[in-house]
Amino acid sequence: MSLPKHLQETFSPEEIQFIVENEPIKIFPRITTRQRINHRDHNNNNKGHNDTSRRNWKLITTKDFPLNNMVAMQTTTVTLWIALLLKQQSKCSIIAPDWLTIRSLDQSIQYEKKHEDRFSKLPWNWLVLAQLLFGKAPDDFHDPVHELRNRIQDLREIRQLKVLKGLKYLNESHLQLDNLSVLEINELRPFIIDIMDKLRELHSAAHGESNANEADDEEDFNFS
Amino acid sequence: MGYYDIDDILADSVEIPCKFQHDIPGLGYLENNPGKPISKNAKLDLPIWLARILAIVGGDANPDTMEDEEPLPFVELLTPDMFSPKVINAIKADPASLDLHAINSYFYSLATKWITLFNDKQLAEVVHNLLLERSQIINKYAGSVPVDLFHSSTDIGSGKKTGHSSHGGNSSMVRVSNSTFLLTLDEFEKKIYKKSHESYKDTKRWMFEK
Amino acid sequence: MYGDLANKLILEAKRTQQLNHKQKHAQLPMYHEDLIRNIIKEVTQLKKNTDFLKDQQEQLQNQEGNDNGLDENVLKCQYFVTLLCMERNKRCLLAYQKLRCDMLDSLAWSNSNSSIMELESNDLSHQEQEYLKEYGELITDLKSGEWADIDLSGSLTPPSDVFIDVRVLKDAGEIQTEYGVFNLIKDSQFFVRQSDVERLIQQGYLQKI
Repeated sequence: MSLPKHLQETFSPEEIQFIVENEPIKIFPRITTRQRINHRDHNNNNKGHNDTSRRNWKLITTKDFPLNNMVAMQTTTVTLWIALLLKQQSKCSIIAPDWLTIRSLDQSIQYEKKHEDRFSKLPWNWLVLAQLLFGKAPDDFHDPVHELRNRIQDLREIRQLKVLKGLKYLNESHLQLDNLSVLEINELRPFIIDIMDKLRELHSAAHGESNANEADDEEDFNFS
Repeated sequence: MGYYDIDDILADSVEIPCKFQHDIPGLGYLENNPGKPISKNAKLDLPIWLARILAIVGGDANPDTMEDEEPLPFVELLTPDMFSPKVINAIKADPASLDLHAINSYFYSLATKWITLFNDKQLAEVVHNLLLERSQIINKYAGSVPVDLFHSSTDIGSGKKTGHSSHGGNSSMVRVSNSTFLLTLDEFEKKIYKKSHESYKDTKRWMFEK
Repeated sequence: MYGDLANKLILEAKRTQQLNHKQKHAQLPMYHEDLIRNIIKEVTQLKKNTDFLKDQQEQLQNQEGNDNGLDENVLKCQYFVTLLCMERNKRCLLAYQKLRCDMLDSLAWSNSNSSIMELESNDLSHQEQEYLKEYGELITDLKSGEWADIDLSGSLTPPSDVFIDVRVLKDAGEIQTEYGVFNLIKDSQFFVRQSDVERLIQQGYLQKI
């Protein structure tokens, strides 16, 4: 097998980041992509096409629709990796999602503290998205970034503690992880899979089921 | 698990006590007496790969008896120390401080084999609880990743370190580097510890670098 | 006792496994040729024993009376023990070889030609050298076939930037890229296209910073 062992069972955080970077985000462009395309004009002069000189960009994307065109100072939606690339070149500012404000995060923290057996409803990519935006677009937040960072860190720690508590209830058949995000699940995956698989093995051994070693659906991840 | 699994092969080589239920000449080499017979009721330790089968197949106790009589297996498996009431009670009493490695470094694997052989539901429950209880501690140790790890690392190769020390401190994780607990793990637990530790470390490194 | 030699071999395999968990680059210890030859000798001996036992069993079945001291149960038990010993030896041999083959596979994919050269001369058995060579050829075929446009043994980390800063760890001479010629002198730094230098990073000439 050409894939190294550590990548066979779970994703690396870099792979998770890659997946998250393909999600849409709102930006505030500082450039306009609909512009006169000069060399086209020269080429087409004698064909009389120069009146259609305002053209849209058409970039290849993995999904079947082209990249949204940008008009300076008008919000639009693009995939995150393009947003980060444009941001790097100061061609846009990124509009932080609603949940990534001090007010909203404080509410989530309150919820986490109030409900011992539940996770607050953060987006599936909250941790990754927050880290990426803190790192690459810190000047686009209305709230001070270090305070946002602290709250994200608080949320992560509260939730990690809950996960630890929840692990006491692992069993051989199923596991429900409502509202746990992709990175949080990914981090736990090797541990949970191995423990659950061993519990399943013990269970089938005791109940005389053959094929005790045939691993199938060990887990039931529940995203919402 | 699997045919080529080194750990399973090693677990299979663990010896368990057996009692022969037939006189078998010529098998003396099993107890280091080549050429000598093994007599009925002789007790000796045999590796699981041998004992497991000999405990299932057997010859007829008496060729003259009725045909549908259960053949008496060649050996009877005796309960090894690791599953003796004394050890089982110790397991039940305090899974956390148990030196599982000393009991047997392939404890879970052997327990599974034993449970399969005897459909031993009680043992299964004991081991189930043992694993659950110990896995919580293993997980705590696995999750403790010191931050300074990322400063000196060479193979990660990223110079983009931010100065946010708040990322390192993780109050939810126990911070013990060299614990005696880790020395009490059996091979399966060790594997879990290593894998989860890698996973926690990777995630933390990523969080730190961003 | 039969199987003891095979146990030794498997313990050796376990050590190899542990060693490779700790180290990043696969290290294959010497092929245990003597041990393996002795295990095979043991299997051959066991095979002779089973043939002998089978003969006796046939004799027993052809005889009406049961007075020559042969007991069917005894033969059956002896036969089983012999067979199980053979199977055990076989499993150990195969597992040992499988572990080494898996490591050769990942070595062949890892692109580090230098470590392959080192291995070929020393620690591999004749068959393993042959295997590594042919597996390497298969990989080369695969890479140059339908998927020639993709670097199948390239970095498995998803890229985040097209251009990156790199530091030169070892002198590597001049490299030619679309953006001009770089002279890679130790400790110098460059801003280059990641895809141009990926191979050099893998080989340890450059470090991403």
